[in-house]
Amino acid sequence: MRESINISLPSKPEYVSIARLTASFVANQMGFDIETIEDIKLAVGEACNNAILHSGSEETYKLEFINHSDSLIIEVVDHGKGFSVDNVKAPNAEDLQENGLGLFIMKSLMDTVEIESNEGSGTKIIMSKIVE
Amino acid sequence: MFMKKKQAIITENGSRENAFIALSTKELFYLYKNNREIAIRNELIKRHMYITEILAKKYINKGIEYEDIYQVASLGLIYAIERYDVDRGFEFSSFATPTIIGEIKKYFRDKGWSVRVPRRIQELSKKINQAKSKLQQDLQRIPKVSDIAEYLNVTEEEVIEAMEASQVYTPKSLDLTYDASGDDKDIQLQDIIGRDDKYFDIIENRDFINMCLKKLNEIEIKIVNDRFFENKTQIQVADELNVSQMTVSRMEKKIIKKFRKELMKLNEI
Repeated sequence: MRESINISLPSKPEYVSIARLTASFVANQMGFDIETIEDIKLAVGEACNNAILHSGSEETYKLEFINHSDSLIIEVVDHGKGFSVDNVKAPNAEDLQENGLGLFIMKSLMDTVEIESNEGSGTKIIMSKIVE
Repeated sequence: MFMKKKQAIITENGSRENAFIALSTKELFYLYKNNREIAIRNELIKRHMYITEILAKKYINKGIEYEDIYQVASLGLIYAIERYDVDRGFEFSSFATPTIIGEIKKYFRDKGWSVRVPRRIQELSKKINQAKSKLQQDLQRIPKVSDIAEYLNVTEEEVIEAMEASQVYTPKSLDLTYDASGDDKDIQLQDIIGRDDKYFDIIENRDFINMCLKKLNEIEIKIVNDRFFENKTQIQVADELNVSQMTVSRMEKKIIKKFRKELMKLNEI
């Protein structure tokens, strides 16, 4: 089974709540418990932050929530500045940059996180949470 | 001259407060400066309560009950009376007003609510948190939204919305956001091992900890170090990492889960 929900949001912080709420609803449909839902919301929030911070002149970014019945897959896509994935070093805890930390947070909270990005062409973050 | 007047008007039953009624406010402040008697302060408070009422009313319907704001404002009035220096020549009301407003604003901030969150959602959010702990106990597992909705007799949608609305969260905010859900109790090393004492020895074992640390990323290691070994609060750690307290809380829980996993593996040996 593959059910997909797509939303397109303005690249502004005040709309991130919509992404988080959508994530909550989909995750709830799939039977995740409330703690897991909170984790997913936080990870989605971080991914949205990323999209917004790197948006440059792009006014919108997109999210897709996919119910694969045994797992929830979330894709966050922006066509902003992008960044070189290799240059994301392990964060030096004493000297942090916002987006570097966001990726690590996502990796802590979700089961898998993949990032495709290239400077100048935008970023795609794909994360998943497996139904236990 | 003050003393004569005071003695002249002490009433028969010796009620101290009545003694001060005849004095002017300025005289009272002078008196209070040299003699910090509660009765004097009470009279000063009485005379200036109107300021408290006026200011408290300005903050109605912003998500906090009037009674609470009034209390906080009254405290502000007391602070103002304590700190006011009558010799400086300023009018007390012009001194008291910013002091009281400051206390009210601080209270709003500390409560952590977005001032646009409707009261209904705040109350539901509190009930949800209570339901969370109770259901976890009863069901012996983490509750689902459906469990909570059924328990509270509300819709699942309402539960989900309240959970979202209860977070004062803006992505670019470098300020602290408060987890109003109240589940950020200080996590001790004990929480990793639950109530089973026999694992104490294993946990104390440096090798075990080192092995677990190998499976964590740099941020997780920092959190383990700061929270469990340096005993910093979540807020301190959040400050240093430039994230919300909520984020630190969630990551801690994940880390503990990972530790538990390792423990269970050991147990299987």
